[in-house]
Amino acid sequence: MYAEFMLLITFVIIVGFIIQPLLLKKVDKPDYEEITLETLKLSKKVIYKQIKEAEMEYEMGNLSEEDYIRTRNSLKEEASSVIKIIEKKSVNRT
Amino acid sequence: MNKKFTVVIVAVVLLLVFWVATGIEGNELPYATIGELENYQGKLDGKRFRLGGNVQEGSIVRDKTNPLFVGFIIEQGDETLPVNYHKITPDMFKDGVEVIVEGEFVNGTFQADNLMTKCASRYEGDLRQTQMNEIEL
Amino acid sequence: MVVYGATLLNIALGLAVLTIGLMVVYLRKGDYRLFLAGQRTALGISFLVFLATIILVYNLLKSNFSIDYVAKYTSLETPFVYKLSALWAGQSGSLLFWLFILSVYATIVVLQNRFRYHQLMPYVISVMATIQLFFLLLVNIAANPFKPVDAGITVIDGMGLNPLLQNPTMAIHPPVLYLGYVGFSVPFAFALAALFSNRLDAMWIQSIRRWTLFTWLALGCGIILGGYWAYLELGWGGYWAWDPVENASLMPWLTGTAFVHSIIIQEKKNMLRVWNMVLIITTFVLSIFGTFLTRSGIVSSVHSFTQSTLGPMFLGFLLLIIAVSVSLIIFRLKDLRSEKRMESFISRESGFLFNNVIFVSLCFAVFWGTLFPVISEAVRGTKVTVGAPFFNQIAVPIGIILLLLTGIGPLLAWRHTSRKSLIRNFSIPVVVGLVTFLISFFFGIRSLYPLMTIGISGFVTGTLVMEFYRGIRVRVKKFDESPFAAFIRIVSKNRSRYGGYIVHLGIVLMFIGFVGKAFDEDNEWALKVGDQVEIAGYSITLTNVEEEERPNHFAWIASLRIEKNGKHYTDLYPEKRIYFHNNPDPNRRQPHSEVDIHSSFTEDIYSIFGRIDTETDIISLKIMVNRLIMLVWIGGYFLLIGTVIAFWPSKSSV
Repeated sequence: MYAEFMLLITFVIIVGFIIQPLLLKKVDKPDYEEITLETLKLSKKVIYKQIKEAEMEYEMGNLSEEDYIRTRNSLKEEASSVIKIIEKKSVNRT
Repeated sequence: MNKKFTVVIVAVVLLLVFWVATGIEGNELPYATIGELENYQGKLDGKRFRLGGNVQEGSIVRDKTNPLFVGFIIEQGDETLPVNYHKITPDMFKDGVEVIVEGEFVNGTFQADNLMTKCASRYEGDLRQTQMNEIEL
Repeated sequence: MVVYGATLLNIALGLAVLTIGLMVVYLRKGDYRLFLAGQRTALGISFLVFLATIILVYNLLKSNFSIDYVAKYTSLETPFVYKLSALWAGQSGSLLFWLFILSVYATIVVLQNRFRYHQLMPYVISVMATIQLFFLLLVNIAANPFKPVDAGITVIDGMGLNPLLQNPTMAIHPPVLYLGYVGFSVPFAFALAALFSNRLDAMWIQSIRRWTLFTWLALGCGIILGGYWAYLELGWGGYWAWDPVENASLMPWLTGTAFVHSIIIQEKKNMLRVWNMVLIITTFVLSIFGTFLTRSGIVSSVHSFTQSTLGPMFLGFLLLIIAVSVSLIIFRLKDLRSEKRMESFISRESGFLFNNVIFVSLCFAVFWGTLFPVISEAVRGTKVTVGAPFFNQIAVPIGIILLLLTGIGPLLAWRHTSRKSLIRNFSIPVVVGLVTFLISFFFGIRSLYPLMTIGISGFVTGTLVMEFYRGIRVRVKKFDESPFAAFIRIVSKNRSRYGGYIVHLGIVLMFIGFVGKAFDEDNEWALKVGDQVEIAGYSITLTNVEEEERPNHFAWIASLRIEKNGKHYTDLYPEKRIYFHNNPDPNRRQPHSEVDIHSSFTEDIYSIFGRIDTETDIISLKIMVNRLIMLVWIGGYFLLIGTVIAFWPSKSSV
């Protein structure tokens, strides 16, 4: 009897828990544009991190100066193109 | 550059696949059935086999002074074969159990140098299926 | 009470269907409330699974033998811990346990990402719920852990847990292994979500990086613990036998290792996007396949496969996953392809790529060898097993190549490495490698593979030490730090890089441990008390054999006195045990050899009590001297520490 009671209670709680959001008035969806922007910022961060890493490799002596300069330049190019997109998106939003 | 890469990778993969496929050839020791042994017409000495079967009930003989020696008979359907073995036997080795033996014939008797007992899986506890203490109501 | 366990699983099944339904409707209608409700049904499934698991565990501990599972895997004598571990000892229990871990993960994923990855989450939740649905179908239909014992029978005492499974390592290694197996479902769910939603940018890779590392680590630890258990308990002196069950766990680990490496390239260079999808899907499929292999008994015989509904259900699910994933990849192929190209063979990218190709090939070889008996039985009608020699022949050289790449990779620059950098980076490690090669040759090692492994290990260690040294030197110069502080700083500032190096050091140690196998010695004797034998410079005397009756078994204990150079070195006490020794039917008593081991860095003395003749009191004894085996376990610790460093969250982590 005790077990049946517990089972019933559990069941009621779960149903209530699930149905609750459906009883709310309309909920706004999150902003997708914001998310795309965030991803771009993320890739900017990743590129900056790589520039730092390349710098460290150079200081460690793993990269020759020639390799380092080439790597750094191309990473900087990538970064600036990402930044351009971010700026464009931010302008569009405001 | 990407094409070159593809070519090199494909070549590496093909090489490895070829190697794996041919690796099977040299290492497979096919299972023989006891019945097939008759085809050798007594010219069995020195030939290597892998045989499977069940240990015949009551056939296990041990040497009292040398626990390393064990003789037993494996049966496969109606066919039987006596086997000698000179190493420590696995814990699961007993009457009726399914075994795989590898070895060769010396003077007409099968001398196993490898004896494996079969158990379903390392994780399964189903090694003793009928051991429950049951009472019928 | 018992019935309710099954009822809970029934309701959970319904909720899983409901979750998928809600998410599908949400994606079509866009009403965010549906998503919120779906999130909650997803949590509901997991909650019910937790309850059902708790009920089963409670019954196991209480020895409620009216449940078939409890009666089959425990007895009144079974110690408490092993009553608990009986949860994963048998088929239906372990499937519920799988589901339990999956539900823990699903709960974490849902809660952790409530406000993140909004475009991926509906799909992630649906995929997770689908996997849960499959396992719920298994425990509801094919293997119900709450099945009562057959009608008309009352069980007084259960069968008890197999003594082989009554070992602390055995008690913990399946859960660890399962943490790994099951964990790959999370990255898999995110991968499919990325494909479904066409959000194929860096986001999904970012979201799963740490999950993947954790899962990969758990699987690796599970494999090593499994080997350790085999070494301690199975009594044949080895830790790896290329047994189908072992291979089943190795395969997803191999592709998982490839994935752990190749996501770095996608993160940094946005390349290999199709390949990464293929890899994670393969890894997940292999995890399911591994569970299937251990649970269906297909390898021991094709015939056992059809005896339960479990096999066909697993096969159907596998085919479904493969079909859906492959069509999705083909559908998104255009969007998946990256514009970036490989620039040079001599680059970090290409190093990673070859590492991947070789890992996957090794996985294929293991797959082929494992399934060969099944294939040959199906095609030719005769069963041909390939056994350890095949696997060793293939895996050893491939392993050596991988070890070599471990040393080369870190020395290569991204994109392209100039000749100048090459010379500067390779000269020291190559010299170290050559010197170790020559030293081991000088010490009398003549076989090819051990020589190569040791030489390459020297090279890799040279690379790794140089990497640490150079990093420390920069900080010492630049910030005027003490070398120790600099060491801590470089590791904590570049966690994934130096964590990875520590893992690689562990791998080197393990490889040297594997080499030790080539120098093992063993012998077997029939001995009386007082007899003395010699092996590998040790003299071993059997001083005594005692008998002892213990709670759940009977034991003969041999006392061995080990001397080295005439001096007492250590004592070993291997045992021969008979479990269920009170059973009137001698065939149901189960003998078990409990080994005793003396370990040191250079070698283990491993003793096995074969049998005793109760009339003559002569025993058979096997002694093995296993070289360098401890390095394998120490390498395992390095693996653990390095990976934990790599995935430990840092403030600056991207």
